[in-house]
Amino acid sequence: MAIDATVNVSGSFIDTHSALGLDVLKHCYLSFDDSLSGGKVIVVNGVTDDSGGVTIDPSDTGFRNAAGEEVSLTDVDRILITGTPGVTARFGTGAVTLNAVNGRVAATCCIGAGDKNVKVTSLSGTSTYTLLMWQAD
Amino acid sequence: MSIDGHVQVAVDFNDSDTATACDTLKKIRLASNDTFSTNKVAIVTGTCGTAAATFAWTAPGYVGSDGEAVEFSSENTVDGIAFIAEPYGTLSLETQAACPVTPESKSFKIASENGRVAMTQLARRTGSTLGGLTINVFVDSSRTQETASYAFVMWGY
Repeated sequence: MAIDATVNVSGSFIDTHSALGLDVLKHCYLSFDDSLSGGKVIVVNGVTDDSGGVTIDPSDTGFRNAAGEEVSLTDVDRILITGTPGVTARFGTGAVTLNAVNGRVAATCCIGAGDKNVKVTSLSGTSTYTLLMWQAD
Repeated sequence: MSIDGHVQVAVDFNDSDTATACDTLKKIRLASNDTFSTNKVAIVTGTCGTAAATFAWTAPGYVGSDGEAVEFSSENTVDGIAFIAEPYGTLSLETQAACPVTPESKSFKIASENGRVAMTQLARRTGSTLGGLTINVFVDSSRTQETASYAFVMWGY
């Protein structure tokens, strides 16, 4: 089994102002391209709520890789999540917490102490979610 | 002043396996693409240590193209934050400690390592008041190197 991945994040903000014969342009461009080779990846999707949420143990998700084997993560180096209408994902006991709304993808590296579980909670009512967890070699 | 913004995230994983007379490829793609206009953006860069660098949520200290300080309302009018740190850093709202999950989307804590972008969104909702809160940027105490360079971008309306 082999994992190859690319991660591309970009943000471009063009800030313009025109007044008194003066045109001003400020351009902020944020870009990051990463190639990941090796490691293990797990994808989990489902429905969560705004009360108890769901807690996902990366060592026991039932996700199978291309070889048909169950994938178990002993640590998580990076998580990405998307949800509709909106979800919060908390890694560990509050090591990192991020929000994804309206199908947009949120991402973070995982730094900090705590267990390795990810708790996914809906921001309001119920939400669908897709969570990707990656562990480096 | 007007803003044209574009935020794109795309992640592609190819999980392949080769066995006797059988090649298997499992492809995973997670992506979103946002464009918006007439919004606000603020960019902050600096260095930090294990003691947090702090910024007011409503006025992080950025000047727009019109020469005016960019200020967000005390209501939650920030749609998202992207954060980059070298070698590693953490950006959180209000707390350096463990961050609780709140259904009001009033908390987040994201981390970046080796220049990888971390990004979170915030839900637009009436009454989600973040105005009095502080953004903290710091190096997690679990890490050995105690200083980091960072940049973050906030966008909203």
